[in-house]
Formats: sequence, C-alpha cells, structure tokens
Amino acid sequence: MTDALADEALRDEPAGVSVFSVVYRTYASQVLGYLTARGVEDPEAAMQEVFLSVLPRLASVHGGDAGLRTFIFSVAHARMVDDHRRQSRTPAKLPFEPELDQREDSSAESEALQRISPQEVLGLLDTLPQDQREVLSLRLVGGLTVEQTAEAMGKSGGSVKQLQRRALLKLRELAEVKEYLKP
Amino acid sequence: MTAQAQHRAEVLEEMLLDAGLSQDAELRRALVSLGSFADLPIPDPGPELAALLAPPVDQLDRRRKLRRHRTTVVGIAFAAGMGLGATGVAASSAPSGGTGSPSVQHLLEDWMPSWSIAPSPSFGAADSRPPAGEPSPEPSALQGDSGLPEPDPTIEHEEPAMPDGGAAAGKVPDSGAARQQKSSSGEEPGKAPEHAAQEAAVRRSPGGGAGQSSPRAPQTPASAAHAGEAAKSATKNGAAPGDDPVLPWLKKADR
Repeated sequence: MTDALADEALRDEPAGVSVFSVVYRTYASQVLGYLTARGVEDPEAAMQEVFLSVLPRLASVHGGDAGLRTFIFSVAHARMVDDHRRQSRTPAKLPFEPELDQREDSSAESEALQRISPQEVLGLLDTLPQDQREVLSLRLVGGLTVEQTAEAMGKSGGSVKQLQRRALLKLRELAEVKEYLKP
Repeated sequence: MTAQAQHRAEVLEEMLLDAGLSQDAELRRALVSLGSFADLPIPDPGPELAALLAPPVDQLDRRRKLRRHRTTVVGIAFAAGMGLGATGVAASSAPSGGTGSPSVQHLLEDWMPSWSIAPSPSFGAADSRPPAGEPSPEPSALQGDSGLPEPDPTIEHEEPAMPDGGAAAGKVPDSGAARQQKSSSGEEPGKAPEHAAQEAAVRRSPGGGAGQSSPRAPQTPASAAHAGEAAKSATKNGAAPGDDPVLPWLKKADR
C-alpha cells in the first residue's frame, strides 16, 4: 500500500487527508465508468460497494499503483459478474437517460462525443460478446494493461489480446455499417 | 489532459496498433467515447463509506496531552494505590474478637476440648469447691457425683490431731487414690486415718517407694505394701469425674 501511494497522483494529495479518501478520489470515477459501461443496474451503489470492500484491505495490497489498480478492478469485475447473474435471474433493464449523464470531458474527447454519444457507445458495446466487452471496458475505462486485465478476468494474456483484437474488428464493422447508414 | 486521461490515450494507441487499425478514425472516436466513461463525476459517498473515508483522529495530540499530565496521573495512581494498600492492611489485621461465623463455631464444637465450651454442671461443682485442706461446704454434691460411699465424719474430726504425716494426708483429702483405697480395701471407717497417713507418705516420696517415707510417719512393711497396692488400684480405676477437669475430656478422647 505504501508503494501504491508513491504514484504521482497520490503524492500530490494535501497532508491530513486519509489514505482511504485519496484512493477513493483517484479511482472512484474509473470504477463508476467501468460499471456503467458494463451495464450494471445501479453503478453508483455498486461502486460504493466496491470501495467498501477494497478500502479495509488496502494494507494487503502490493505492487504499487499497478497492483492497487488491478486489485480494485478485480473487485469491480467480480461485483459486475454478480450483478449480471442477478439481472439474468430477474431482468430489470434501465434505459440510459442522456439528460442524467453528467460526464465531464476534455476538449479532444468532447469533439469526438459530438459525433458518437455515450448512448451510441453503449449500443455498440451491447453488440459485442461479454468477454470482448469486458476487455474493452477494463482496458479503456479502467486503464489496465493486458496483463492486469488478464489477472482481473482470470484469463491468460494471450486470450485477452485475442479478445481485444476481435472486439476492435467487430466495432470497426459496426462503425462502418453505421457510417454507411448515416443519412 | 490529466495523468489518467494521458494513460488512457496511450492504452488506446497501443490497442489500435496491436489490431493494425490505428488509421481508423471512426473506430478511434468510438473507443475515445468509451474511455470517457472514466470521467464520470464521483457521487457523494453513502454513510457507511463516508465513515470509512473520514480522516483519522490525530493520535499525536492525544499522546502529547497524556504526556503533559503524566506526573498528575502517576501521582493520583500512586496515592490511590497507597490508600488501597493501607485499607487492605487495616481490614486484614482487624481483630476478629474471637467470633467467627456461627456455622463454623457450630462445626468446631464437636471436636474442641470440652473445657473451652460452656462448663458442665460437674465442672461447675468442681470449680466451686474450696481449696484443698478446707472442709467442703457441700459434701453431698461431691459424693453424689463420684458415687462413692459417704465418708465417715469422724475422719475430718480426727485430722487435726494427726501428726505431720496425717497433716500431709489432710492436704489431699479428696484425692481419688485415697477414696479408692477406702472403697477397695473395704476396711472399717475407724482404720481410715492410718491408711490415709500411709497414703500421704507414699505420695510424698513417689520415687523411693514406701521405704523412704517420712521418718515421722511410723510405717510397717505390710502397711507400706498395702499403700502401694492402694495407689495402683487408684490409678487403675481412675479418678472421679468431678475431681479433675482434664480427665473427663481424656476419657472422652479415648473412647
């Protein structure tokens, strides 16, 4: 845990703030985005449950920022799997409401989002198999490497790379179709 | 661009390069849009999580405060310890007054020496007796206890007229040996003073026997032997219960 705080983002925190608070503010938005991208029914509640499980166990985490990030998203992945199982038993789909989306974005991303809305991205992801969607979410939203993604999903690095390649090819096809269907 | 956004951009480039799709602008925009989910605003933590995120209590201040008042705390603790010790010593050394728990006393009654409990009527009679050599004010009480025949009143009347040996015998008029001698020998009351004198002579010289008795006491060998025999029989039969307060208890213990 000590070396996890050696990360630049964590070292910039003012003194007197608890370690738990630093970890929460550093990773909460990514965990929330990951759970949202994975279609968890109540992403905010699930995110808080993830940190309630992670924070008391911080002392056992090793491997610096990478180890802490892998640990947090492993817990989030397990929480997502539980949520999907529960949804499969009692399906209760909530529609995405763009007016409730309060994402803050940088300038480059805002330009991209002017053409592809979050709702459209979620629609694209829904067309992908679960494993491919999981790899894209962990890598792009969680910022995990191939090895970290493999560890969080309990798969090998090679299978993660293969899932990632197939997902990108599938999205490209869908994007081309979408472009073709544009008026 | 924050460090997190920079990190995500690097991951995106790596993924596109691995798939050989780095030139696909539409796919890039879709992936950038997906990555923007990581910038969702953080909701307020719930009560349980907020309690976990609360800053810890400053332990240093508490420790400094304790150090500042250490002398006072130690002094109070020392005084309290001394007080408790003194109280404990006073409580433990307080005299019990000889009275324990009534139940314990009741238990001890059965095997305690009998004279340490309430005196029995026979002991009371023995205590009330006058010292040796004086006439008993209530001879009937003694005789009733011992069960012996009533002595002839002439003995007491003749005692002052006796020589030294007789006077010595008069000093132990109630001894069990003398009485046993009377009862076992079965002699007439008129001969009792002689035997009492012989008995006294034997008692005055216990180690030497009858031969070393007082020269003033005229004694024949036969009478001396008789006196020794009487002493033996007295020892064998034991003393009367009212004469010696120790013997009844010993007899009880023998049983």
